[in-house]
Amino acid sequence: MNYRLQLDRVSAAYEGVSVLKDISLVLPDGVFTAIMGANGSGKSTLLKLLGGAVAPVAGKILLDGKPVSALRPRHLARDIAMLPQFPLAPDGIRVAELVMRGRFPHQTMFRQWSAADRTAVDAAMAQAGVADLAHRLVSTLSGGQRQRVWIALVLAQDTPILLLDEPTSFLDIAYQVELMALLSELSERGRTIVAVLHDINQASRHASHLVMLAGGQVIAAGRPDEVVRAETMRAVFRLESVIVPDPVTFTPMVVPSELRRNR
Amino acid sequence: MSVIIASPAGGIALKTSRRRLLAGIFLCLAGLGIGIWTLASGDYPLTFYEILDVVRGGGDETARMVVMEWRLPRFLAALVAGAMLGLAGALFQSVFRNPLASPDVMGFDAGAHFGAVVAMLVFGGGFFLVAGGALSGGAVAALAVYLFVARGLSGFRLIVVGIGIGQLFFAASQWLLLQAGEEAAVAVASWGLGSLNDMDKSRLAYLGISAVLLVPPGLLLARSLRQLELGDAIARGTGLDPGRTRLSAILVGLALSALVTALVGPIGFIALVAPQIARRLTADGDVALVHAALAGSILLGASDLLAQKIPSGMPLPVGVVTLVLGGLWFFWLLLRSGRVGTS
Amino acid sequence: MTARLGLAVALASSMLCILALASLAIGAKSLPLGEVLAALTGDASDVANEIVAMRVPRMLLAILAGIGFALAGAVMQAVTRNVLADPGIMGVNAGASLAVVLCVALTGMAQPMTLVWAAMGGALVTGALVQIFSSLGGATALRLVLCGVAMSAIAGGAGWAVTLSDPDLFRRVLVWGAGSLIVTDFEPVRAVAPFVLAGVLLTLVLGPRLNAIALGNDLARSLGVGIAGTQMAAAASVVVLAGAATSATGPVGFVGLLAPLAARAVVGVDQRAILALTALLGPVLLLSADLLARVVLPQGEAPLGIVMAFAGAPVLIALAYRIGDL
Repeated sequence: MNYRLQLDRVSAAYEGVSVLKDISLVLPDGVFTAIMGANGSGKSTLLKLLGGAVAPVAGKILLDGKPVSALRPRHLARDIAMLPQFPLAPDGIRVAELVMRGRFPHQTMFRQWSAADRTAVDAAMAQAGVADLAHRLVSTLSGGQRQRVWIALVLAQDTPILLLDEPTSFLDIAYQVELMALLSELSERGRTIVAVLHDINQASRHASHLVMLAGGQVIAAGRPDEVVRAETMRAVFRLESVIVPDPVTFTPMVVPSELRRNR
Repeated sequence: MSVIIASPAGGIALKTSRRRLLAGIFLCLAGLGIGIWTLASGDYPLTFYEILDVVRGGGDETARMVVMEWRLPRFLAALVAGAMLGLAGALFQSVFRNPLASPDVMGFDAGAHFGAVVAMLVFGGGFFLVAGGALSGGAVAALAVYLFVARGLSGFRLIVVGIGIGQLFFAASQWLLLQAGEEAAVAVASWGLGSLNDMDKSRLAYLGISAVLLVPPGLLLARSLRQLELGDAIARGTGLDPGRTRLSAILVGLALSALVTALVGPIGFIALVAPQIARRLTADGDVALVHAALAGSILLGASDLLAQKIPSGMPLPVGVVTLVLGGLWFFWLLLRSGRVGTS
Repeated sequence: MTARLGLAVALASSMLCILALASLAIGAKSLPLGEVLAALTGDASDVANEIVAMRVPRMLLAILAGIGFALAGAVMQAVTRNVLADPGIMGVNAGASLAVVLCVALTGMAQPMTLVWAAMGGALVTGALVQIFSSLGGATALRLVLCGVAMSAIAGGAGWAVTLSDPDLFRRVLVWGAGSLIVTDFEPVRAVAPFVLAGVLLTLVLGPRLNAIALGNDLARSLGVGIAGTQMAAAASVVVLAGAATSATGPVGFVGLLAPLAARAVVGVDQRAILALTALLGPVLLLSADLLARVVLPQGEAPLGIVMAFAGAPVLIALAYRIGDL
């Protein structure tokens, strides 16, 4: 298994509270990795560490063996794109203008807009299914449309590695399926996708590598059929469940076996 | 009362009313302290007992004059004007459901100031003309702001609109003063910053009459405002006319702040800060009109004491002091809310 | 979009030229335009030559201060993602002018170069304080404006207190304090120009980064923009621009608010376009205000600050009213 992105004995804290403890992990190249875990288990922090948005308390995040913190922001941005959970759209911006801003790391003072930029933006809008919205004001879009515009922005950044923090929030089920399909398609074409996801069944359908976090540690990492097991569910979510094959994809599917519970 | 204590809700009610009482006593004691200090200190220092003698009707000639003619009118004016401003601020903040919606921030004071300047420079002054000018100027500014409220503006946007209207009136007054020539400008400049330096008995009397006429109706609005803060729907459902309550509160608040502006000048931040201090002290989330008025008195009294204590070539207008103190208090408030937010 | 920007820049530039010429022609003694043009090449009558020569520094200073206030506002608006940010509202101008008043009061010095440095020092201190206080517990737009209002009040009140301590100082500062452009030589222009130029260059480099910052700090970081570095550079340019402008004219409000908002309304959301147009609209605004001041009060020299408030306040009100629709 080849990998460019790696966490080496990383611990992280959020506002003084320890969130991740001594995690070592590799993120395989060209693979769709889903990060999952209970609320507050450190999923978003893990993603922010990978994107260089948060500095670890201990340990190193390595890209090609070099610490991410040592890279210049612009160079890092040509390798890793990250869609945060709550990005901001300036008032009055149009879809195409917003997507164009994903090209920032590829531009310089003297070469601000090139044919390559245009191609990348068009391709990204087409892939995210927002090409026909190009001239709409972002503020007039529905939540689902807006989320796809943001996806287009990080796609336009055209990086080998893509990090997404809960990208399916705000999307209805049809768009969720569409987005997951898009992400797995991108990974098949060679991009490394790392996404924080909530829906385990969806993740095991579309992602080929799962990472389960609990209590700031990695409980399990591997193929869906290795990770999605009743004992993992118990360890991570303290939930009793039965694992059955998905009737369509035959990937593991979690069916909770408790109907009521007292946490 | 002992029956009510048995229920948990009654316990809370009793506790909050006790806290309100304590807060009120605290404010009164603070006011008394500042009052004694104001009367005692200055170029002709007096002891506590000398002041007591004078107040009882004794004391020597000089002490009588210093206290009764100079210091007491000034201090009383600070108390009365401060109370009026504090109450006005509390009324507006409650009606607009916005802690920033006070007559100084929203430009009403600037409007009143403009009206008063027009009355002074164009019509020659006199209390009734200046008061009338201030009232109409304040009313015009309030009407302008109200036009935006009627169009559904609220919150932060409304405050910014109010600030803009205030700036407009402020510029208009400045322009009039520049037109008027240097002598008139210098005479009006000190008042234009808000000053108690030349407070005399006749102005104090006007101030007192205004307060007697306006403070009781303002305080009586507390019950309706409490209901109105729950939203128009609930207010109406519980038998209140929201529009009428709002209008009365705005009119009383406007008159309070415009008359202070006419008599003392535009004094910033008291109307903004006093109600917030009052709410912090009472800490039950309820309208606190009496406490706001008390806090306003103390704030203005303390600011004026400070204005007299700072050595300066020209007598320092109290408005300059409230500007600085109010700004510092604002910083403290933001710092505190920041800490609360992160913990 | 670019065609629109080109048209806007062309229009604003020609307005700037016309206003610059008008500001040479109009005043207590107005000159016909032909004579102004002749005077610029030194071919007019001696009186006309002299009048124009006296008005040139004033015109240049208005242009420089206009660029300074306007660009400072544009950078603040971009980096705080708050369209109501403005060096006047944020207390930066008030801090700069307090420093100038203190400088004159303490040292009695009024050398333009000394005043520029004092103003930038004041702008730096107040700007930093506002930034620090507003960021404790997370800087929201509201918190930032509130801190700025508080800082303006403190600096303004302290400025009054210092001014009132000395009747002589009171007279000298009163005129400058309301914002005015009473200059007849090139010394203030020479003092202010290098700083405004430095600020403009810094802003030029910042444009693309500000576009990324507009998407939120997380996304900007992921796009390769160093957040802390950009914020520091932006702060530096605001301090230099607003400080230099304040030392030239006194604290003039609304330019830093209006010019970027107008630019934004015309060219949309691209910060590079906004900055370019803002740098033209700022001087247009200030020159117009100065002209209006001269026409309305030919002998009294109505201070710029007052005229700007008349022009700016209604627009501020209208913009605040429409802000959601922009």
